[in-house]
Amino acid sequence: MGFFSTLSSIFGVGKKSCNIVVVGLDNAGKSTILNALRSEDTRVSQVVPTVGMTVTTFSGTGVNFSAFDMSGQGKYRNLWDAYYAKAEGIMFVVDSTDRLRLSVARDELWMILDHKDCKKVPLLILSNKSDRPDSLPVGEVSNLLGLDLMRNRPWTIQQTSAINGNGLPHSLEWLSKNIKEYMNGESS
Amino acid sequence: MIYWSISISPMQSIFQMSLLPAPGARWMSALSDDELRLNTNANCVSFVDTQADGDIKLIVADLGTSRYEMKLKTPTNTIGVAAGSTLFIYKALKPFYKYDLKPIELLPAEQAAWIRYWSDGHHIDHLVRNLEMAADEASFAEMSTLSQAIVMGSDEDREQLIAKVANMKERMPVNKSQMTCVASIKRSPESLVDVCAIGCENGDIQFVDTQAFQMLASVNIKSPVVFILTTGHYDVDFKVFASTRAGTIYLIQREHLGKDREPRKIATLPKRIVAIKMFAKILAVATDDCKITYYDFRGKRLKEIRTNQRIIGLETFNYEPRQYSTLLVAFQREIYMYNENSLVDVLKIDSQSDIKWIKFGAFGREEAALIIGTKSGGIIVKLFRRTAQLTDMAEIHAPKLAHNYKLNIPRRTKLYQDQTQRERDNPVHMHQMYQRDLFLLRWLVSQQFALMTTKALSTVSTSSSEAVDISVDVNGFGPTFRLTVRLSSGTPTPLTDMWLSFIYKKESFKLSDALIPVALLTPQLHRDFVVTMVDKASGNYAITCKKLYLQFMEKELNTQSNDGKTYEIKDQLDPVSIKLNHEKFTRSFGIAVQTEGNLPKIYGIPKMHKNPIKFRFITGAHDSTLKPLSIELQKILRFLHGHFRRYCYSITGHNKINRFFSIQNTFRVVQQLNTVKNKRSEIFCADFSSLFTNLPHNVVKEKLYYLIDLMFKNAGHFYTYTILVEAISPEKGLSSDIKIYLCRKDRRNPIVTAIITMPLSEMSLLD
Repeated sequence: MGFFSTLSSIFGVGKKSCNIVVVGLDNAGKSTILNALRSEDTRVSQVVPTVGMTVTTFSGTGVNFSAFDMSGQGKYRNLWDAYYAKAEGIMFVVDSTDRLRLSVARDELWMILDHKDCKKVPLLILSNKSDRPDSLPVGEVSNLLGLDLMRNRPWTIQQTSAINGNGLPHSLEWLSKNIKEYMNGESS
Repeated sequence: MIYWSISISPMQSIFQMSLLPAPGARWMSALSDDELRLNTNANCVSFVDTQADGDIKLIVADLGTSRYEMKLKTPTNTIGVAAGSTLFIYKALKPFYKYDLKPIELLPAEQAAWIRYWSDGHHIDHLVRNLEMAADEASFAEMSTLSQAIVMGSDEDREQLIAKVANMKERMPVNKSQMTCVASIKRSPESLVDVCAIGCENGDIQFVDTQAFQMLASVNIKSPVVFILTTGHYDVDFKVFASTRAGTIYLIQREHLGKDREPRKIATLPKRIVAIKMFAKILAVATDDCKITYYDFRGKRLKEIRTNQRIIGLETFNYEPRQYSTLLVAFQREIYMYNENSLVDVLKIDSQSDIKWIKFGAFGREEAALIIGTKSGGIIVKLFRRTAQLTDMAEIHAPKLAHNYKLNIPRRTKLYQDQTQRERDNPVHMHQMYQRDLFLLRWLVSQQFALMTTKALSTVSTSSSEAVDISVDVNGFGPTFRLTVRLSSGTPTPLTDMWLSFIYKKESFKLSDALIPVALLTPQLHRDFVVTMVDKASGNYAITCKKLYLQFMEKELNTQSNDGKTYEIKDQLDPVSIKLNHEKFTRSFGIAVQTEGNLPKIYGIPKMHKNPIKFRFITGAHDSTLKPLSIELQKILRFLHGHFRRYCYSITGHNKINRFFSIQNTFRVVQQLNTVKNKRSEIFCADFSSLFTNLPHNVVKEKLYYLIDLMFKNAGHFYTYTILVEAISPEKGLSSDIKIYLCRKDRRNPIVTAIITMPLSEMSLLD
């Protein structure tokens, strides 16, 4: 790393920017998580169900993210496909209290991963709503999503709570690191 | 509207998940729980958004395991529970309102009977008689349930029932009908309020307003209502289909209310109705003769589907995003999905138990969930996949409709016309030609097959110390073949840790198993075993290799064959050679051969105490050639033995010395020893190294001849034979002699002394 790049990284000028796609079932907490990741002055007080999609920007360590917050409602899920091609990371949010629909989440997750546009980008799975007493442990969510079958892409599962912010900094750090690696690998 | 209810939110259920659904799968398994122990049916299950938060709950009315165990756990929001003649309304978990069916007027005769009873001295007999007359007059079914019970019940029951009536208002039984089914109709397109349609046992269908709980209208179809289906809006226009227990379906519309117009009878089914559902403007009726009949709303029969299994239930499948409206049909282990024309999906359940009920609707936040209740009380939740398509499923089970076939008609060319002309001119000849060709083809095929089966591939073993015979058969005509590989070892030592490996071109073949571990290859042994007892050790069993057993048996029967192949597995001895051998052997003794009948049974038990192990062979006397002879011999010996014993007893009387020891078993020995008065300090034991079978037969025969001769030569005289046995120096003799003295009773001196070489244990033969 040269002098200028070190300098620029200190001032945050030369930060890389990347696109991530945030998907998951409806009511999983995607918009709430993104709201919590934003800087405090840009946060909204009330999160409403997303219609179609919204774009949110926030910054991680060394990376500026533009997150495509996709609506998780059944009728909008077919819009997800259009954004895989330009995404450099996937954030998949699961409601860890919704046991019934974990199978649906799994189905949707594997549909994403099997999609032809989906590259070997880092995959961050957030087992959200961990503050709720009826939430499933992260290991169980991992099993139920069939993550042990996943090969050939960097992935992690993180227990989070968008309400109190638990697990979010760690997730962001992982995502920044892996996306940087992915982008370096792509460019070289 | 829902009835008895407990709430099963997904959070409370234990769940299992199967693997990822296959790409073409239409359903995914969400939850399944076999341990819920629900006792319910499709009528008592419903989906309700209890908290109005979009999270829809499944409400299950649990009937409990017996009558008195009915559970009533209610979630929030309004739930109606129909029980008996009352509709209970629950709002926010609390009982809110109780809607009672209006009592029906008592039959005049019944009423009179009761008035008479109370006024006229409480005669139960009179009451029963009057009630019976009332029943004859009108109908038994129309009487109040209490009166019915009094007529039917025993004397004790009657008293109790009358006491019940005495507590009632005006001391009269109340005749209330029972609710049988409930459905709801929206009041108007904008309204959130429902109207409740209640079907009753007496044929009433009552429309009840759910705000004020007032009966808005009532229609009677004169027969118990079993199923009720609603569509439309109460204030605008609606259709209510009600089916009676007798199998008639009525249509009730707005114009039938409050007027004289009778509800329209739209269909009558010959068999019992299992379920009725509506989908896509079709009324589907399942009957218990495995048929589903489609009617349109005016009662026109559209189509009939025959199934090969008993129908358990029907359910409507509506999937808004794709505009699917189909019918789900539950069978014992499967759920079929039909659209208007054909079968579109088959869902098999993987539960241990059979299906009892199914319910489809929005569940949780999923809009298409199918809940399957099993007989064991478990539930299975299946969710319809977002990407699933129903249209592309080919017809697998049901035959296509005739008009759907597109016939492949060739164009009217010259060639086609010539051909058809030829077919018309000489059909017999063409048919014969066809049959001949078919026969030739079959013949060729069987010839090739026979050739293939006989042509086994020859194999060579590389090392002589590990000689293994391998034979390979190829069966089948392809593309799939069956290879049958037979391995047999020719080495004396067992071969272990071997693998059967196939080396082949991967691009040409696909083998089910390329590497097969071979179990222990033991050449000398047989793959089967013979389980026998062990000689001289009762309670122990020997498991002998069948080959070894057969070898010993052959040796014993003198039927060894030397042409045996090592890899040939012998399963049984050759019965012909045994028979021949037997005949030869018996002829050599000059005994007539019995050609009919079986040979005696033989078996061998191994002598494990010998080294090398040999077999003791035991033959049944039945069917034996020597049996008549042995019977005769037995008679003679018994005769001798009797004389001998009597003699010994008589001399015991003289000198008090017991000379007769015939020992049957060890217990007798001990018994005998106990009777001895003057016990010596030591007991002498003797063993015999050779058994009686080793006695020279000539000697035995000679002695016996002598004895028999002596005994029967002068038959007719009065004499008694007695035999005295003495053991002489048993430690010396390999075979011990038995001296037999013959003497007359009147003369004390022995006249003949016979010496027979016998071990002492032989004495048991005389016994």
